[in-house]
Amino acid sequence: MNFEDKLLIWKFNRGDCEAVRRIYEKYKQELVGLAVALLKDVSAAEDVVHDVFVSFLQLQRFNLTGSLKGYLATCVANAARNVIRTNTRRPQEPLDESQAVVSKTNSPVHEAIFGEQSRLLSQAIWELPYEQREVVLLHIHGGLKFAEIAGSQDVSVNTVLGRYRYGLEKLRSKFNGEVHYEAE
Amino acid sequence: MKPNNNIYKLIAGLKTTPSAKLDAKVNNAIDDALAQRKRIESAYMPSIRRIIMRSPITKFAVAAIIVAAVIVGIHYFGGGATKPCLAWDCVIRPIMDANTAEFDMIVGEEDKVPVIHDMIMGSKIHRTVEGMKEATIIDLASSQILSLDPDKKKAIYISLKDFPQIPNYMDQLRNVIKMLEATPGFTVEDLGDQVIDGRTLYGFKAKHPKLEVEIWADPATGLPVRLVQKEGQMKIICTNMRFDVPMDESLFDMNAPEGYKVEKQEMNIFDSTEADFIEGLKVQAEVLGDGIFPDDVSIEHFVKLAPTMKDKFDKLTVSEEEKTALGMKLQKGVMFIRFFKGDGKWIYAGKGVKLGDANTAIFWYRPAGSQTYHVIYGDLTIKDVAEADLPKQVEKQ
Repeated sequence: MNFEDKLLIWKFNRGDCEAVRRIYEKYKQELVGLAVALLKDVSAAEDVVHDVFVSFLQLQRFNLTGSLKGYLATCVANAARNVIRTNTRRPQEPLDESQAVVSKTNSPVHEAIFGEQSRLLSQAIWELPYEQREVVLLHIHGGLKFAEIAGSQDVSVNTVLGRYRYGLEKLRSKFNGEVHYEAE
Repeated sequence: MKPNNNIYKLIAGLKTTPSAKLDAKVNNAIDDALAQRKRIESAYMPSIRRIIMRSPITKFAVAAIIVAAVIVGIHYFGGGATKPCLAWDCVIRPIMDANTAEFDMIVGEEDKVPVIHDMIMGSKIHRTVEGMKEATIIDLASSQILSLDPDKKKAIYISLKDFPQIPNYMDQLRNVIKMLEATPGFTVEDLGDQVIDGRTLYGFKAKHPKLEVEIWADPATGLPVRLVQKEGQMKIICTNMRFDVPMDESLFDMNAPEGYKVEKQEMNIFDSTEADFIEGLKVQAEVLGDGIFPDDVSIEHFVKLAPTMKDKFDKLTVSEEEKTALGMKLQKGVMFIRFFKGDGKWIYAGKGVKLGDANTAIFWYRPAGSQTYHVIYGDLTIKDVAEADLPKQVEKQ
């Protein structure tokens, strides 16, 4: 965990709610991006992120051994899973591809390439079974270890590894033909 | 790039800009939480404040610790300086949990003054000053200082009159931190990374109406290693900070070693007045300056001259009682600067001025609540002067 995050958590544990504002500003794009990727629904995704931060504010203090981003990603995934499980939300607001999940780009050329690839990837991710989608996103996007994911999902590490492997293979098979290659 | 790497890169970079609606909702939730916290605090804070203000320990907390440092140095006609890492230890959690601490302390600018080395265990501080053989143990619980001179085999106990009893220095720091944080106007600014003494450190600045502290931590451990405190016209730098260091308890023994001649003194460190300051100036000019006022009267300068001043006192051809009396005058004078009670800044312009020079202003300041300034001249007389009539040096500063 980087020092700024340590400091923010320390401040939060000492009752400084402004630290939460900084945490939100720092991670909001990634968390909403994760939630959208999990739920395929911008409105539901934003509700999930909102609920995560409201719950966060209700904590008196918390001890964190892993990364703050990973912790928040797990919270988003748990909340998104609840949404899926309880079926209280249906995709009501179809994803606008121009706004939904975008990749960080470095230049106009990269943007042109990765913008299209991002659209294809989003589509491929959404076609994955939810469990596989969640594992792939938490590991690659949230930076969580497989053991951490297993703990949060209450399944074995082997199960997580299996979901990850299957998910990644499907992504690769769907994505390979479209992907841009660069000289190695 | 392999396609798989592209997948990784794209997934890792997934971002969506939230709607303004979400931003507003989260910020409202944070505002609500802040308001609720304030309501809860306001419900019980008055009683906490009463407890704090009634307690002599917390009431004088910051001052008391700093005083102890200065006192010791002053006993050696120099040393001391100031309280180390008070509020700023607060910034990093590990400090709040520390039982012992060790650091080097510099009053003023680095490389220009002797380094003070402090070791802290419980209520006691073991202090040594670079270039001086003496060691000092400050026991905050008994409000006593033990100064040991190995050359003269002399042990001097100084009882600090009206000094609050502090059972544990680190606990005391925690109380100070809480008190400072509860003060309106207390803010913390993120300073980010900076290379200091060849090390990349992560710092932030905490501001309080009466002091400002920068604390720099090792990003690898999250532990603070350096602290810069500015209080009034004084600057203190703590470096090489370490916490929970194993220490030899014998270093904190308040019993005088066998064979040492024991002396006892008592002093009140909080009640220095303008008259005490003038007496101190007179001693500095007459006894230490060959009739010339010192270059500076800051704590930094005092610390810098500590070893020299001690030598000069040792060489005085007066009785030990007279030396003690002179030393006490010097101490009281320094306390006036250390715990300056005037409004705004004090100005010293006595460098090179002869004692008795009635035409040259050497020091001026505005007493608390006063509309006019007190100007002290080379003959040590005082005049009430309107701001418009102050010596020109005021304008320069």
